[in-house]
Amino acid sequence: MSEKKLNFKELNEGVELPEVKTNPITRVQLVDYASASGDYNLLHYDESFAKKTGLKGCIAHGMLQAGMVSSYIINWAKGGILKNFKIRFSDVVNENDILTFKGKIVKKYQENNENLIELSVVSKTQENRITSQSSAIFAFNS
Amino acid sequence: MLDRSFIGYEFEPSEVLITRWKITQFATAIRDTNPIYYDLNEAKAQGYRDIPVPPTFFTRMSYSGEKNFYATLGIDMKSLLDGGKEYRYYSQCVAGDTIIYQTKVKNIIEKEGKRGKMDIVTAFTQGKNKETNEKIFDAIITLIVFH
Repeated sequence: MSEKKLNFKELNEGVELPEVKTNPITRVQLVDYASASGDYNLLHYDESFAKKTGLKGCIAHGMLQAGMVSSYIINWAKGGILKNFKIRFSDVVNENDILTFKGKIVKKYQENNENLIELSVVSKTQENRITSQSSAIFAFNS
Repeated sequence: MLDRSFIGYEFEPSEVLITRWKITQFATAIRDTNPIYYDLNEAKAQGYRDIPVPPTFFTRMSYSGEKNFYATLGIDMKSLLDGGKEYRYYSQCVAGDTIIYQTKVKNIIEKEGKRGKMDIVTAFTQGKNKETNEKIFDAIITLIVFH
């Protein structure tokens, strides 16, 4: 992880962020997230309950994935201030899935005297299933 | 099908003191090893007043805190899917801040999809700093509830 701050002048539309791959999302992590977020829906850690609802097994909290995507962009956007973060879930993340995040600068602009960039991020599983699409807006001082 | 009279319903405001321990627990759960969430000196070295919260830390507040959002609206957890979220950020919240937040049900509409008919619920939560009255965040959540 580089600590060097990004420079707005050097950020351009079309630039891709380095891909990041997560570790497998384990049951322990699902329990950790249930406890940290207060979302104790049984779908996330009780396999027999999850199967009763028609799923293959336990699935990750949507917002756990959102948290991991937000870490990905925050760790990249050194020196940027996050103004907006939006995520749309398109498929479930199963227990033990490994996610790959891939981001891109889609827009660079100025508004109300702020230097802004908009990123888009796609999250895919090891099977290439798209699980979410996100967008984020960062402001840069310089 | 959910009761449409909940459109416009406002939950009571809640308040919560943000603690370093809670932030560290949250960062651990999302497997974020950035030292600003664990080490006060590092957070201060990077310009924060105290340990900052990660962007999706406010998730729990989108469901009106201690009041049971789902029970109030009569949502069965077995027929629920998370459709997405949007956050707007106004100022950085750090450990030691007290947040006042309030959730309002914005809309409930019916749609038909692959799995049949569903209600799409959108709810809006605003969070502000109790001491300074500064806005901290808006959160807009979208829930899919199958009939």
